[in-house]
Amino acid sequence: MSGLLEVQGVSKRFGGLTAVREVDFTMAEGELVGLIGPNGAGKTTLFSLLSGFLHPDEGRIRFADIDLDGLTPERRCRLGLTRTFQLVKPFANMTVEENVMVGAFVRVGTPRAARAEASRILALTGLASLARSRAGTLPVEQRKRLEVARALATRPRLLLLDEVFAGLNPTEINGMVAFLETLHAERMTLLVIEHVMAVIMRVSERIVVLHHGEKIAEGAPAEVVRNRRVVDAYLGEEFALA
Amino acid sequence: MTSTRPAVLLVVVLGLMALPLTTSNDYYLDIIVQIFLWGAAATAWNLLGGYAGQFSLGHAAFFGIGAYTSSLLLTGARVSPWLGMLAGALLAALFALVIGYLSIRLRGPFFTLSTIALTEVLQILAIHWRGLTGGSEGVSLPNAASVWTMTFDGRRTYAYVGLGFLLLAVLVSWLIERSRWGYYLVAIREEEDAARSIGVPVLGVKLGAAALSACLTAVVGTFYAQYVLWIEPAHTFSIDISIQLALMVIIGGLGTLLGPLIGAALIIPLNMFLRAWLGAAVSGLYLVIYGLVLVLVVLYARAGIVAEVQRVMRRHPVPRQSPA
Amino acid sequence: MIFVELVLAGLMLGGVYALISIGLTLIFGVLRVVNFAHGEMLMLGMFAAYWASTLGGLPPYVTAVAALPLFALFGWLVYRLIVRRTLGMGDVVQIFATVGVGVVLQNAALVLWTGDFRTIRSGYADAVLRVGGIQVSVPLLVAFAVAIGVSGLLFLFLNRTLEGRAVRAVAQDPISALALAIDTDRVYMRTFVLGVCCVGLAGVLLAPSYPIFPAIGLSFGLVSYVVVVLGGLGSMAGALLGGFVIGLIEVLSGYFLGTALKQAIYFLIFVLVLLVRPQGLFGQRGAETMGFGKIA
Repeated sequence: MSGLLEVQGVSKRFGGLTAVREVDFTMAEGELVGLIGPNGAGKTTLFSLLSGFLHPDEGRIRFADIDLDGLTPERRCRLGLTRTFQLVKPFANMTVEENVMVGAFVRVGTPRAARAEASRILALTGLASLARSRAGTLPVEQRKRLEVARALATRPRLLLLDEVFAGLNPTEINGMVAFLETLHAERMTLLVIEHVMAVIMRVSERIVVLHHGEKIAEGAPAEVVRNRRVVDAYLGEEFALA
Repeated sequence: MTSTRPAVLLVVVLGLMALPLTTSNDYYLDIIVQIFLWGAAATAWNLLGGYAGQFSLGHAAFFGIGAYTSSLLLTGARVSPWLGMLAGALLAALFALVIGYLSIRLRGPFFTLSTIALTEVLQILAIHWRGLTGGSEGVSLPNAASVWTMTFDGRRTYAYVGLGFLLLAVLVSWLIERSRWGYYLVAIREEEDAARSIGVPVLGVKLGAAALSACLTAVVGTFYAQYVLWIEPAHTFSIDISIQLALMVIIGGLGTLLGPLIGAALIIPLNMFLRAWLGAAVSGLYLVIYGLVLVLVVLYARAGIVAEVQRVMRRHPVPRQSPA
Repeated sequence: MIFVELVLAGLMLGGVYALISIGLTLIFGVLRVVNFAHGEMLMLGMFAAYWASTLGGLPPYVTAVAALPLFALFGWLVYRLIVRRTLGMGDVVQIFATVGVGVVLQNAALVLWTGDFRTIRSGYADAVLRVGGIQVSVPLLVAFAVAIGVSGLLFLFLNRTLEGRAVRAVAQDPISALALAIDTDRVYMRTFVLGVCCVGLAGVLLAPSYPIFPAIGLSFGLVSYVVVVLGGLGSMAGALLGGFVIGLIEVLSGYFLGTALKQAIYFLIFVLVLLVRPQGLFGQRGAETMGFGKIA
């Protein structure tokens, strides 16, 4: 049985530093998997490898039975793999609506259709009232939502979310969690990097833990939390597990 | 990003059409022709520089290709410049595609560097390939007025032909602004990586913009050749042309529809005025002023004069039209 | 024998190119700014030597030292008034601010001194060293020696002194450097001034060997960009090696292909580098795409 995403023995080195070391895991369609690990564990590097911004030195990545080797990020998005960025990158001089339209254009051809799609997505993500605002003027929480909305417009099969909760207050976190759960309920496959542990434990079906580029644990949240290696890895970090 | 309102455009177009009728003085008509000519070229540059954010200082190459292709075809094979123009546009587009493909991974200043290098090479080729281009002496074009050879008797006629090219460039920009391609261009300019991650075909979009920009610039180059009736490498492939185009667009407003024209309308008269005032002897002085203006605008008013004016006007409520 | 002379000439020229490019790569490596006015600054250095020689009778190697404070002041002014305001401001500002400076410098020179070709008439300019049947131009030899010397000094500075390490820290990670209480603005300023001094010095040393006129900045500037791209953006060693390679190629191609195609060769090299190894000989992969470089 092959999963939607298959990562096999993927490694990436930068000069002398091994950022990702022989990482294996798979994801089935519709799963919500959390990707955690201390700072510098290689999580964002892994996202860059999955989305095509970096090329692995070793290993393979298969998505929907297609080998992604050599495919550009644009191409992967068309295939259904979209990522967001930890440091959000809104198109500052475009309106919120236009930002989302850019994402929609990968599926529809005309500005009119894109605008319709964007309206739908904006309503879904609670950004409808800001449709005509310049993206550059938005506060952090809205920017993060915009980043997600824009990615959603590409109708991904697999969405890679990079720290969407960072910098949000508890109310905003709840809102985002509810939103993720809606997406999950609609069978969208999600791989979520997160530092805010309380959230990731709540939301994920399964968790993959990276440390120094290696996968050190994988399993249900409750198991992972009790894993000796995981606890050791986080000792010294400012964390409250669960 | 919001598209310019059709009503505004209509008013501007009507105004431009009326402009050549306001004077019979050759000197002023010359200024008008030049405003239209350089406005068209600047609008072409804006496609790549303003909308896509790829700053080329090599557009003189396309300008020169257009000018030389049509001129050599005219003098060598009696081909009408109207056809030669198309050949020039095609050549320029091909050239842009090749260079674009090579430079595609270069960002910011490195892309600009490579465009400078390529113009230099073309200039050298034009100077040394004397058999083809006549070398430094350049190419002289026949003076006889005839529509078929794109040569006209009065400057007013030239003005209207030039206006035609300007309107072509503006129309192309307007159509792109409102199309998917236009959104893609701006997205790439704003955040190229984010654009890639949501499926924007960056390579295709950039190359397309480069080719289109090159085409239009080459077309204007042909018109230029037919206006001045003598072209030579030192001027036609000069980096000064490239810088002037960029300057006009930056002053008028990068990535706006009418910014390039506004920039041209400001710079050309200034140019003529300075030359008249300072005299031919101090031929570099107006360029010193250009350079200073460029530095000042870029440091203190980088959205362009249009945007600055709008910003000031925003203190007083005005019907809204957001700048790009 | 001819071949040996050509190689020597190529190396001498290469040394000069290296000296010109060191300033450029230093400024880029630390400030992440491509100095589009680099060629024009070289031109100013050449004119400095010319006027010092014509008006004051000073030989270029004296001007080289005496003019340094002038170059430093000039660099400081350009940094404080202009370059500093371009940092972190995006492509438009960074590119066109220095382009504008270049335009101003070139045309101010044109206005002040006209486009006439000038040459330095002095014994020094024509001096030639004869070793075993081979002729070597003395000014170029001096420039070569200075290039090596300056590279060596810079290397020592960057790697062995505290200040130099601060420079490297800022080059690698300005934010962390700030956190370490390094005054990044001062580092930027000093690096820029250093870069300007290097290129001004190169101009003075080159002046005896070339005609001096305002537009000469353009061709030398272009060469320095090619050298820096070839050697790797931000790499001292790259600028040195790249300079030699370009110098050799230029002399050899000039001899075998004629001077006309010389400059076309640069472009070819430029293109080849971009295609085959865009980070250059010593640069970090991605420098030309992301604009990052390692000072080495």
